[in-house]
Amino acid sequence: MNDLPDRFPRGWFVLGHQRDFPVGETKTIFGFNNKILISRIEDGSVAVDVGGDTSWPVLEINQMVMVWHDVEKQDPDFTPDKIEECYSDDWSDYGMASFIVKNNCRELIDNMADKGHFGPVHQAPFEGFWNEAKDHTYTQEMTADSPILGRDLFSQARYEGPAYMTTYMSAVHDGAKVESRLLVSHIPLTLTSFVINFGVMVKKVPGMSAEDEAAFIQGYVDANNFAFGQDVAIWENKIYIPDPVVCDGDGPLHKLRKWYGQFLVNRADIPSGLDLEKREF
Amino acid sequence: MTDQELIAPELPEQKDPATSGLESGWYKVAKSEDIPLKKAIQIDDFPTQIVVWRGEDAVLRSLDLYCKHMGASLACGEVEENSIQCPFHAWRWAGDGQCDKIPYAKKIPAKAITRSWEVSENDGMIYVWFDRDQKPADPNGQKFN
Repeated sequence: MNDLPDRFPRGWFVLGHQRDFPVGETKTIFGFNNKILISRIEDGSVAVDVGGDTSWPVLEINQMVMVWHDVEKQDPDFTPDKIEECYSDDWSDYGMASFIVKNNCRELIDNMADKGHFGPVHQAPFEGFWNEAKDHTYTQEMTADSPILGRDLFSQARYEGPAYMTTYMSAVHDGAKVESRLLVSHIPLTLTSFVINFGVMVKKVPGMSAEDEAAFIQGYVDANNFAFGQDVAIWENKIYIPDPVVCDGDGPLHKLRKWYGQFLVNRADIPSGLDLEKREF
Repeated sequence: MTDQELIAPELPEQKDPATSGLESGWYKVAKSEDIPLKKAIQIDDFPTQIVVWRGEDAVLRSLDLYCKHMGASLACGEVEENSIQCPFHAWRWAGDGQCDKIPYAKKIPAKAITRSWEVSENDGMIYVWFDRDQKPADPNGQKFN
């Protein structure tokens, strides 16, 4: 039988981009087995109603509206770091896209330690691959060469909690260096489905017209959509192996899953020793 | 932004064949023409989910459907030589259940073994042996459609 978690993880979850919640409007989305109403009231603040419960903490940071989920109903014990690029005129805003995945949201997390899937699934064999876990953060650094996401690729991806990942990426396209920032967030709909909301912003190229810039961002959104499609084809046709046999070339998958497990238990039950010093795998 | 409904799909699982209650015997799973050279198919109509493929030597082989490494469906993979290669991490499995190649590993872990199923082919039909006592296949055993 499928051994599903008994709850949704504790942490900050992105509800959407700030621009999607204008003053005076109420939007409805689904998440956490509930209908969620999101309203921006006249004073500019956002009120969230999750199935009639209005006590969920709300945060606006890095262009996103986020909500804190915690079955124990305690105050947040961290907030995501501010990303300067989200507030800089030198960078575009996030272009956003979303799609549903029919599996438990933990499937997404395995990717952080899963260096072995980049070649077969994304045709992008890694060159260097590093992982680090510290408190509520988990960081992956990677160098690779990808026909889809760019040549001479460097990326640093960091989870802050179980559902908010941001990436700094640089790659060479047509001989020019492109710097980008990725957002990969998700909201669980049920224990066997979730919605990925992802965003892409790029460093503006001097002299580029607004039109070309929009097309360029859309190209990056499309490329990432394509890469996610490759993952989804796997995610929707697999079982969960709780204790996989790993080989010497695999990343620290067991370590990563233990780190993620801290968000699936009460705070008093979080084990110690979840940190992982940065090292290459 | 999304306005999707709350869908809660059932997730795939590798059923325990011991709970099937079926008799031991050869179970027809496909026609010969359904599995051409170097092709793999998924079979759900069996005591557990299996992949059946035809190697480049034209011989049919069968394993549990889901990869013992990270759980992907081997039927979505490619036949390479006479083995089946998983689409997720390219671990390659031989017909006897042994992992025989991991492109990015120095050494294949001793525990990288999956369950294999005996296949026979006659009169244009493909049969897989199921044994409720986990004994080897009986070539003259009963056939079930």
